[in-house]
Amino acid sequence: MMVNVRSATVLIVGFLMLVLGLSLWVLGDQTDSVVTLPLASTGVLWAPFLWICGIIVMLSAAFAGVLHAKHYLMWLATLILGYLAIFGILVAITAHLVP
Amino acid sequence: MKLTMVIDLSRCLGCWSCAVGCKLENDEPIGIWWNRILTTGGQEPDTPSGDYPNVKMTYLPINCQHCDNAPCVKVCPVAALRKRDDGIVFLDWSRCIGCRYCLVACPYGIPAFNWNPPVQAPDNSLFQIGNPAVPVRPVGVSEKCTFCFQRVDVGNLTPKCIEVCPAGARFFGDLDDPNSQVSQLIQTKPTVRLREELGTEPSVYYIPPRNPAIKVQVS
Amino acid sequence: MTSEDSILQSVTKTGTGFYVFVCALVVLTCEFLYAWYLQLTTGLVVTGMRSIYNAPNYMGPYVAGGSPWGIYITNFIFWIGISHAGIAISASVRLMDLKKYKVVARMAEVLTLVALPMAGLSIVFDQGRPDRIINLLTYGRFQSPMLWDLTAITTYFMGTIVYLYLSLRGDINELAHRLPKREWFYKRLAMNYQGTESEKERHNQTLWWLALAIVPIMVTVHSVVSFVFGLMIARGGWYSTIFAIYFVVGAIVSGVAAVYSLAWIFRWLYKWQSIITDEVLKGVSWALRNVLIIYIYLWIAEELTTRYMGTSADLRVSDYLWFGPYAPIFWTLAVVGFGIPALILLKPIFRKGFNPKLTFVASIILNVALWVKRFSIVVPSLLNPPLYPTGVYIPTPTEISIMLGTFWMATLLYVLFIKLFPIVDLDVIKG
Repeated sequence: MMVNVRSATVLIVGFLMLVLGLSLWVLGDQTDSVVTLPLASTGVLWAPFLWICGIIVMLSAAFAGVLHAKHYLMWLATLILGYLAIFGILVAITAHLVP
Repeated sequence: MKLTMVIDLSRCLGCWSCAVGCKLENDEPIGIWWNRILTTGGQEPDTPSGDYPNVKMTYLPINCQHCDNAPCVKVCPVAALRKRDDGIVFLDWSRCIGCRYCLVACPYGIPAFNWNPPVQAPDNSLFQIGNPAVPVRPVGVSEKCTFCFQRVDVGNLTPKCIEVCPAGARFFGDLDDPNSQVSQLIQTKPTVRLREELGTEPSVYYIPPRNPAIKVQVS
Repeated sequence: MTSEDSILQSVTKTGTGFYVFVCALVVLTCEFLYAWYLQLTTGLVVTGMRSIYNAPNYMGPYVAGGSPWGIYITNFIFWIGISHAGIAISASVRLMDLKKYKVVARMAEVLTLVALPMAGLSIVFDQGRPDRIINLLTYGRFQSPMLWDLTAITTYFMGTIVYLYLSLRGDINELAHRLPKREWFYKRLAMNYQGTESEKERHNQTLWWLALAIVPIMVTVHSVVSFVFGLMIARGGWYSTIFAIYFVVGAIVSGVAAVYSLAWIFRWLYKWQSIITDEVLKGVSWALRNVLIIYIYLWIAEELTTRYMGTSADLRVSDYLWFGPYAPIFWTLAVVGFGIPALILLKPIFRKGFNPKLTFVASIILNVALWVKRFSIVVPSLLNPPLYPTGVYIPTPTEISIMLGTFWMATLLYVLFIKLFPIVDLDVIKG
């Protein structure tokens, strides 16, 4: 089985993002420490999004080997920004309605 | 510091003063009680179990147990529930997304949820009900007893329920301090904690009622 | 007409029946949107869910507490279960080289693609403050089973999109030639697909590895959903080591039954008897029968463990299910919901003859039964909290409308796909 270099690179990058995201969360987790109002941050902000992006990048490695770089990047951007956009749209709509 | 509460069930009258004091101090809306008095007897409140004349009834005031091994802290997806260094399990109302996992995970059924936009009665139109240091919670978030963090943080104040109990059945203090009242009570009196077999390590101890025929009901 | 034309009927032919169907769905979706609007503006009080504890109201009869989770969470588990259709079939086809089933692979993958967002939406409906769900991405706590849910479901969803696009690319290119009116759309989407043999080979290789990667994801997804319940010491009837396998097998039953239903419907709708043959349907029903037997076995093991020497909390929930207010639903579920499909699926073992239509009925009953089964896992445990009397939970019409909204939207999305792309892989005809 011939391993495609582009796919392998993308896979590794994604994996590193995943590990980084998880590590940042674990290192920053202050669930057990003193908090005062207003609240202290727990974990590094956006760490969960980072590890999810890592997973999306890893999966996109399947595209890296068969698409042109331009199309690949378009897909990657669509997946990641689209995912964020779903949250953004839901939050925007509900924020207007929930008292 | 390990804040602990001891409740003497042989003194509890089931008068709900502690629950009402808590409700006013923390401006709890209609339908939400952080502190409740369960009747260990019949199914309905204030009903005994058994057949007359062999009836039994006792009261079990229950509030957040501020467990050391709290299941609610473990399951909260956004870390809205956090355990403080002094032992208080705190629920951050500005972060709660209202998933109600804490309601599901708590073995004591403690967290309450704002199903509707909260209605305070009496409201604050005439004078300030409730401690202004406690934020008013919006619809869609969970809330529960905080061991009156706003009173504890300020000084040596105890939670409101301790202060208002007319029978002197409630005690509060630092378990790490061997001279505190709670330490003394736990050492000298027989105490029991609710659902201890689950390993949650609650911080609320109960002194069982004196009549051995009446057991603290744990199912 | 050629077989290819026959398959492309689903894309090109749209009769009045179709338009009536879509209009009905749109109307129902509007009703759902209104119900959701009501819930967002007035709060979750419009549902039948309530907190565990209900304070005594001395001016009226005592109303026991309620269930903090209800049909939204049940719906969530249900859609995740349905989503196992895609990979169950795709994995079999690619990894085990069962070319016979390639004909139903794509309709299964699309089902997954549509089911996963519906599961996510069900959760959003359940949140008290959906305007704060971004907190899951900013403050999300990895130690919580709900974050495992988020991660696993996102992974599965993204994996399915990638998989579907790669397997669809050849057909998109084909459609660019065959449907000149839509060429601009398909040409863009194909993204410079050449259609050469080496390119096709690379696609197939990639898809093979992707299918291999997605299989553990499938197992993980429903396992983490089970962990939301199975790790809770607080509740009777939940804290059980068997939950992960129990849920995963249940999901495979759901998924395979859904694929059978879809395959039968398409076969009937477009007269594809020669494409989706009896052999294929028989194979799918064979797989369904086997996983159903495993599921029933796991269920019996659960019940036996509880009734033999369960904790008082477990027994209280079990009594509620077996003898209490829930008993009529529970026993109907067991006998009609699972018993009848089991009999239908087992019949071919003893008596020759495979009845596709009867098996279709069995597959529909099975999915309805699984929805009710998941309800019976979620709600009764919450209605019987230790320390408190038994509660009551009755879903309200608004709540049901919102829950059904996921079904209308899923159907609409599925129908949209059918009108854009062939629901059967064109390779099946050529090869």
